[in-house]
Amino acid sequence: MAAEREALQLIADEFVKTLPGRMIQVRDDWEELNRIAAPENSELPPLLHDFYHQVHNMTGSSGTFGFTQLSQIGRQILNILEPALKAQTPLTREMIQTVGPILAEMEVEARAPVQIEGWL
Amino acid sequence: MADGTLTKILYVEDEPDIQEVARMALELVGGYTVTICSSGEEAIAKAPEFDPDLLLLDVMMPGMDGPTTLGELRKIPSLADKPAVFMTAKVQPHEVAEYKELGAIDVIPKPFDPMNLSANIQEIWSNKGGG
Repeated sequence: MAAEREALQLIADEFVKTLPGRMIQVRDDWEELNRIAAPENSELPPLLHDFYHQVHNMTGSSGTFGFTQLSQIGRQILNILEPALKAQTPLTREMIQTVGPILAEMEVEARAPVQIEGWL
Repeated sequence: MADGTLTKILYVEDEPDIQEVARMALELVGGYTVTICSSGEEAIAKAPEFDPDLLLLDVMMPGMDGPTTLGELRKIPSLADKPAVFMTAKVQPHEVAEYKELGAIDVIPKPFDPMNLSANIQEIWSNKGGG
């Protein structure tokens, strides 16, 4: 199974290389969500679905590749946003203020994600 | 599936990284024949000809999600009774129960261990009485 493990690690390494680009996209979308999530906007912004799926995919992939900390940070964001998505209600200021620092933390972790020892 | 052996798996997953890992895990480690679809629509188009023994579906996908995809696949007569397994990070007991109510025989938690995915699936298959 050594060859399979090596191949899987290569996929993980490639994943890491995609992180900076993905985080830029996530950040851009978040800034846009911040801009349009004004209190008078009573609808769920469609962009939130894209943002959620981007974070969801990064969370899932990073977890699968053993980047547990990155995955756990992403999961925190998903947990905050899920109620709004389920209920189709607008983002609240509280949600935005809570997600902001966590997203910043995710950006830091994504620059040099730590892979847990013993992955594979 | 006539002999009860699990050979062909249709896997529906939108994330390319996970697709790649799962393909390696299922084909190279497990020895299964796998068709991977990036969306529910693609699965509905490809599944009848592929004629899988098992349906393996990600739950959270943009557009048609896993449960909806399973519902649509069930409308295809040749797939109406195919065993299905969901893959998801949401594996609280009540959530697993909901997926089973939708027709899944089991749920594989995400993130999954690539080296153990095939063994996990084989165990699920065996426990359902097919192998």
